[in-house]
Parts: sequence; structure tokens; C-alpha cells
Amino acid sequence: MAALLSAALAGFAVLTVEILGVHLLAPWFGTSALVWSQQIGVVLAAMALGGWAGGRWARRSADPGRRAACLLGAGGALVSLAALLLAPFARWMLPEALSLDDAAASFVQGSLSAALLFFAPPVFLLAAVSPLLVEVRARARGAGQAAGEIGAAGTFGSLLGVFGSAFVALPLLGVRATLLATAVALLLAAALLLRGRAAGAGAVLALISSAAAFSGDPARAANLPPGAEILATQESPYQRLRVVEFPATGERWLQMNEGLDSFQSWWGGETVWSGLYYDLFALAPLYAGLPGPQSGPPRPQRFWVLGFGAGSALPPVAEALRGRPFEAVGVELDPAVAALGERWLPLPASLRASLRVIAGADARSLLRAAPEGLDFILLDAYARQFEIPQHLATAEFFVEAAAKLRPGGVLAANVGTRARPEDADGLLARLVASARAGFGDHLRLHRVPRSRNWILFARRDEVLADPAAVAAALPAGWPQELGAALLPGQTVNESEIPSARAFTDDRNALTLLQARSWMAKEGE
Amino acid sequence: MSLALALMAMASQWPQDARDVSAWHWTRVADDPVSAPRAEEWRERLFVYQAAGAEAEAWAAAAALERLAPADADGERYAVQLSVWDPARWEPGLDLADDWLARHAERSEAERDGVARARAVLVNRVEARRAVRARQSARAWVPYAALVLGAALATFALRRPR
Repeated sequence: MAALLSAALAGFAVLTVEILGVHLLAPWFGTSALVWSQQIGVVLAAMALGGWAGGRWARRSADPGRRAACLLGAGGALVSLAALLLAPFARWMLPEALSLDDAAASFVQGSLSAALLFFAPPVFLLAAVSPLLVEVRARARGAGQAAGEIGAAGTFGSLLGVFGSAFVALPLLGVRATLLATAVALLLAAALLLRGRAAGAGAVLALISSAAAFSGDPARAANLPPGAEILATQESPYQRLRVVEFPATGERWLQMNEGLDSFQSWWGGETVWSGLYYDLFALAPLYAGLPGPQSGPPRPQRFWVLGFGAGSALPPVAEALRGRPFEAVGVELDPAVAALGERWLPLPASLRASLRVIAGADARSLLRAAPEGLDFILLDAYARQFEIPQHLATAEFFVEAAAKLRPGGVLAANVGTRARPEDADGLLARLVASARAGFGDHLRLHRVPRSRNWILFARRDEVLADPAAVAAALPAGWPQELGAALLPGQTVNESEIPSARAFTDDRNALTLLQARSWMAKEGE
Repeated sequence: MSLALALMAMASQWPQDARDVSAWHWTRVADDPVSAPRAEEWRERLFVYQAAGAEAEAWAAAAALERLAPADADGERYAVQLSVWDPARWEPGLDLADDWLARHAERSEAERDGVARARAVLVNRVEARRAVRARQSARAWVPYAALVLGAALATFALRRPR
């Protein structure tokens, strides 16, 4: 029984390290596909080597049970070290004054190094436990049965690691404390199995790890922007979240993962115009062609915001509707984002009255359930991070989105990328090629003032109004930069963008293209 | 001090303009000299907005000016100003500024000063970026070292028993 429990504990610990390791990296290096791929690759390599080494040791060892216990204890000690030492290492790996624009190389180097130095060693040792336990059990039951039972116990432990760590331990304890608790469990198991002096050492280490779990979280202030004060932090199954406030201006940012100078949502109190890309979403109702004056009560404008965050896109859009009633639905994948937004970045009551937020649902899945005939759709899941969700950039997605719009309805998508629209086979050209599947040639890119972002506007069945005509329709009181964003030099029409292959659900090079563009140095 | 106050006062004279896009209706006819306002007005605004730290408005003025004079020395001047706000244009903007200052010694002191100030900002940003890159490069050996260390340890662990 002890062998089965040990195998399950080792399996649990390996998966906990693999999954929570990424959460431990997130405040420093983000959770891009590159970070995940490196973590999974390193962990799998360590498991393969550990299994091989365990087999060798099983054959050589006079007491494989004792050796397995030693490995559990050593693995626990290394997990504990990883939880405690990763933060100072990450801080050392990241240059000061780093902006997100220049961070890609540091993130790749840092996350790979951290995975190799902090996560590979314990996984290597823990993966070597199973062959030793098989050796122990095989002496009484035969190799086949022993391998099957130990394998099953290890897999069951892994299963607990996957779900228990992400959905139970993480919300209750947090990343660091969960990893330290795992280390304590490994050390105590080793102490129980070893007995004697080695057991004492294991117990002492377990005690130290337990105490460390209650120390402050060094990642709380990771990559904090200058002049910002932390209002709240939260670990969700999707990401690490932080709300910061700038006392000098009163503005607040909701940041995710690596932070730096980027934010997921912006809040400026009663301020409608942030001067950020959200302002350009106000053009969506204008492109969609607001109905003219009518005698009866105006029909409410219906729109969805995919990737709602804390709702930063809503105030400028409501301003564009100029008092016209609306019915908005915001879709946010991470419920913790919606909760933090409601608490720290609250929208005015007048807007909330016309808004329904659906949190915990994927934008594309939920859009299928949306009513038809929407006036416009805002897509802001394209964060200014390293990635655009692949399934929200395919030809099939744009076909589905177009089908939910009324004729003349508009999709406005925020795209953060270093790619240029003139790059043949670049990300923007391929994104536009994908959008053509749903919207034909009724497409236009707007450069977001003072940023790398673009807003893609796509209109169902009807031609997009000339930017000059939109400029002429802009109401008084709107910011100048919105007018400037309509200048010919700031917009790119569909006809100016080279033909390219569309992204599809089946074949999608988006992540690769995005990684390549972020890793490239300026001018390449 | 008095200059700063004067600039702030000038900026405050346009409280409506500063946040009012109606002044931008001319952009739809940027190629229509009858409807377009004088570029001189926007040059003044660019200067004042920059001095007052009104970044968004200054960007808008520079974008408008670049549009108004796209292919001459003035256009290049505004392109330099615009590159300050576009990280992708910092390095080429700096080259353009150097080139412009070398080629246009005959320009007024105010114009040259405007480009020189934009150049100074670009120099700071490019140098900061290069410093970050240098620090990134200085850490580039770490993953390789970790890989070598891991390979060495794995080889040791997997060595054949004697």
C-alpha cells in the first residue's frame, strides 16, 4: 500500500509542478504558448530521463524502496526551493525599464531557464520513483502486475494533480503555498518511509517549507509599473491578476500575468476617453450607420463585447450612441477578471443598467448562442500581449460573427501586433484574409494612435463608409486623436493589403507568426 | 517659467478645440486647399501641445501636419515628430532627424529646434532600448548553461554501472 501511495504522491507532485510552475512563472514571464510549450517540453524530458534513470537505479539498488523514499524527499526539497527561489531568479533575469514591446526575448530566455533549473530537477527525481517502486512490488507480484498497479496509482495521482492543484488548491492556498504544501507532503512521506536520521532531516525541511508558505509573496509586486500602487491581487485558474492605481492621475489598471507597462483593462473614474485603443471602438456604431431621427422611441442598439474585461470599451461606445438606448452583453472568460473589474474599476450605474456580463464562458462558444441581428460586435480578446486567441482569428470565426450581425452591422477587433499590413503573408494580411471569408472586402484597418495596436473594422454586406465621411460625422467634444485616426495615413483599406492565406480552424499559424514578430528586433 | 505659463495659457485658450474633433472635419478634404485650415495654425498647436505635455493632442497635430505636407522637408519634420510616439519608428526616426538637420541648415531656428528636441527624445528612447537589449544579451547564456548543466547531470545519472 505504501508503494501505491508513494507512486500516487509522486504523480500528483509532477503534475502540480508542471501546471503550477507556469503560474509561478506567470507574474514574471507571462503564460504565452511559448512559456507553456517550454514548460511542458522540459517536464516531459525530465520525466523521460527520470524514468530511464529510475530503471537503472532499480536494477542496481539493494533497497529500492529506501531509494524511492530518498528520491521523494529530495524531490520535495527541490520543489520547496523552486517555490522560494524562482522569484529572485526571475527578477535577476528581467532587465530594468523593460517594456512589453521589448520583453519577448527576456520572457523566452527566463521561462526556459527557470523551467530547466527549478522544475526539471524535482520532476527528474520524482519520475525515477515509479521504476523503483515497480521493482519493490515486482518481487511479490511479478513485473507485469507491479508495473500496472504502480502506473495506475501514479496516473491517478497525476489526475488529482491536474484538477486538485488548479481548481482546488490554487484558489484556496495560492500558487506558492500549494507548491510548498506539495513539498511538505513529499518530505513527510519520505520521513515516514525512511525513519531514523534521514527522517528527522526530512521532517525539519518540511517544517521550514511550511513556515515559508506563510511568508510574503514576492511576486505580488513583480514588474510593477513606475508610480503604481497595488490595490488587489488574485490568482485565477487562467492567470495572475493585479489591480494597480496611479495616485498621480487616479487611473487604475487591471493587469494580468507579466504586467510591465501593459494592462488588460483601464479605468479613469468618470473619464470617457482614455486616449487608448478603447476610444476607437466608438467608431463601430458610426460605421454601422446609426439610424436617423425617427418619430417613435428609438430601437435599442444591441451589441456584444467579446473579451469584456472590466468593460473599458463601454464608455466610449455609449458616448457614440449619444443617449440612444442599448442592450449590451459582455463575455469574459475569467470570472475573476469580471469580479475584480466590478469591485475596483466600476462602470457608471447608467451603463450597468443596460449591460449583462457573462463570465466564465469562451467568446466563440457563446457567440454561437447570441441572437442574430446584432448591430455590432466588439472583439477585445486580442490583448496587447504576445498572443491572439487562435480560434478567434479564423475564417470560420469571422463567418460565424458575420452571421450574428444585421446587414450593415460591424465587427471591430483590437489587434496587438508588430506586423505591418503591407507584409505579404504577415499576421495582419492573414488576419484580413480570414476576415474576408465572413465580410468580403468590406474591411479596414485603423492604426491606434501612439501604439502598435490596430483596430480591424469589418462590415456585413455593406461598404464601410469613407473615413472622411466618418470624420465629418464625429460629434463635437470628441477627442482630436480620434479625428486624426481617420486620416488617410492612419487607415489601411482592404484593397491595400496583400492577398494571403486565411487562418482556419484546421490550419492556423497565428501563434507562430505572432511569436516571430515579437521576437524580431526592430526593422526586421 | 514665464514661457511655460504662456504656453499653458495658449493651450487653455483652446479648451474646446483640444477635445473637440469638429476642427478635424477638414481632414476629409486634406487635399482641398480651400477648406483646409492653415498648416501654420497646426504648427503652433503642435509646439504648444508638446510644451504643455498634451501627448494625444500633439500626436494628432503632428499626424495632421504630416498629412498636409507629405513629401517635402516639412513632411519629414512632422514624420520625425510622429516617430516619437511609434516604437517601430524610433530608429528610422532618429536617422531621419539626423539627415534632416544635416540637409536643412537654412531652416529657421524654431524649426531646427523642434526637430532637435524630437531627436533628443528619440536618442533617449533608442538608447534605453539598446540598454535593455544589452542586458537581455548579457543573460542569453543562462538557458544554454542550464541545458548543459541538465545534460551533464542526466548523463551522470544515466551512466552505465561498472
